[in-house]
Amino acid sequence: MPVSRASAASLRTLLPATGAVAGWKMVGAPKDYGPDTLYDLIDGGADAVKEYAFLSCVDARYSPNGRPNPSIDVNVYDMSNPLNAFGLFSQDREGSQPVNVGAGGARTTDGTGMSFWKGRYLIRLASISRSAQFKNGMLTLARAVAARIHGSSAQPELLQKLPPGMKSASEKYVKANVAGHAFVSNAVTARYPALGATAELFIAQFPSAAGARAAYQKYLAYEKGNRDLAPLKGETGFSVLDRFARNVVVAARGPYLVGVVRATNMPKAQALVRAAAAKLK
Amino acid sequence: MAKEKNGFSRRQFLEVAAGAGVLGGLYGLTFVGDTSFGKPRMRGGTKPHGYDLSVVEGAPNNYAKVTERAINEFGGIEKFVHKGDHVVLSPNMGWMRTPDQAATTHPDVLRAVVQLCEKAGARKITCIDYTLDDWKLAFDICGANRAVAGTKATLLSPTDASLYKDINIPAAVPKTMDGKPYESRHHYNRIQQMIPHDIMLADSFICMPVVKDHEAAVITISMKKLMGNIWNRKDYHRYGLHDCIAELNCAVRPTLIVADATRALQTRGPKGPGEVTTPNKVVVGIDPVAVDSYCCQFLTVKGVTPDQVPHLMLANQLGRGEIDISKLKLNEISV
Repeated sequence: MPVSRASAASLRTLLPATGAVAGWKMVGAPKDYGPDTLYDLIDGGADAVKEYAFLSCVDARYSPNGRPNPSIDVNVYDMSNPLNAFGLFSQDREGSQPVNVGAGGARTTDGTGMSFWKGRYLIRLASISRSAQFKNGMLTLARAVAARIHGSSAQPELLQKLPPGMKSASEKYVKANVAGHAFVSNAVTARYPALGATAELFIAQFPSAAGARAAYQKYLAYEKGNRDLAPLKGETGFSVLDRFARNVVVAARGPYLVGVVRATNMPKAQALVRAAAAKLK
Repeated sequence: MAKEKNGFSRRQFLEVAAGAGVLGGLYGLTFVGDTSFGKPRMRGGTKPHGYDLSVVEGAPNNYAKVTERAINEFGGIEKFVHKGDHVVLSPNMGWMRTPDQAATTHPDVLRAVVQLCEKAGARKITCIDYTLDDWKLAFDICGANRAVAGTKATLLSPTDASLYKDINIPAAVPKTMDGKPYESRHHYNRIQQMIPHDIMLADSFICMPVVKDHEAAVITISMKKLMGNIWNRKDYHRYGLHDCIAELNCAVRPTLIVADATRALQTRGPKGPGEVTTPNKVVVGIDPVAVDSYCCQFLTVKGVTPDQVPHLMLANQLGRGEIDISKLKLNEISV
């Protein structure tokens, strides 16, 4: 699929021109990438981007002196809508520090990488330099791009269904392979420290209750053969001690599939799934 | 099959020997006269002393010693590299990222292996990785140039299709899995594949991945690292990445795996920048499923377990290696 001319042209307007940000010059010309060519920019990382309705990307470099190294790479991704832009950002920010830019931003601990979303766009910045000049320059460039973006940055409604107790900034929107299963998709997830450091709750939304039940049956079939598989009282659900994912609890409620994986405490996992299911209609 | 990326002629391939450029005339001698099809001829490795993995931990200023000790504890380099060998090393060196950013194999680890290969009497040592970034900048910034400086090792980023040779992957994939018939993804989707001539004809092939998160493949360690040595990557992404990775590993079987867990790229892999931790370890083995399953524990930010990695699960089911680390015999040492 070639790069959409309309999308590429629109993305270029979001890039600060040489001199627009004091002390930073664009190095060479921006390059455009589409779904077929994104691999040439980020190799296997392209698959994760394309999962979120990616349309096109523009790549530009900035440096204080116009030379290519060291420089700050600025990649602006058109993700079709704010839901997908947030979704990709939610993957990017894991483990990083929040930064105030756009609708939500995150920066790596060493300061060489930054990601933020606003409207339908996800913006990534990267450098090899850890100098104060480059760290400050990265934030300045990021804010310059953010200022050029207009439109809604509403977070997905599904996020509101997550029960309290989640680890801050751990919520994600995941399109596919939720909890490692191909049959669970279109979900919000979050970490719940009370259940263990890596314990995670997911709420997957299916087009219909029948779709959720079908996914539930597949999950149940997958867990047969694992220890302590038992029905979850009061729910269409089960709990099990999975040989890899430890304590797992899954329930189907209407068009939703709710589950906890990698919990260290089964009663707490069961309680959390019940609390999440109770909020769903 | 995709054509060469940028129209380079055969002689214009990229090879840097100890900081100097070397053109393709010498390279051509590597494969003239070879008529075999489809099967790499690299030597298989063996497990010494009954250990599945040797794991050595040390300080950041000591990565070379950590690497050497890990290989020695696994039997010593002479078990895997013989005098007169053409050795191919497969480190991560394709990105313009500094060693601290953990997207590439640490230069001290790479140099240690190069020097051990020289000591074992290797005739020729070639370090291969397909670079997507500018190769000159990538090799410089990641430290690969520094790693081979003063040695007989050369660096190669084979971005021309003429530097590759067909490999018959379906022939190497088991026809059954768990007692049921298995049709490989390569066969079903008629995926044709090529690997560099050097790897096809290497006497010894040592895979040297750095431990990383991967946004598409969950992890990239030794099994995924082989994708840096193939021509047709897009079909893998198009038709089933994890299946193809598992099947590729049935056909390309490194003599030795030296996994660089001195640092681990926790997020935004394979290129980063992302969060980085420093386990300060080197893991050595011959079973790629075991190495990768063991190294999952270093990816702590996302809490990856082997069961979450489909290519590990499939490779285990195809008999390529052991995914249950509780079944592995480990030799774990701190220096």
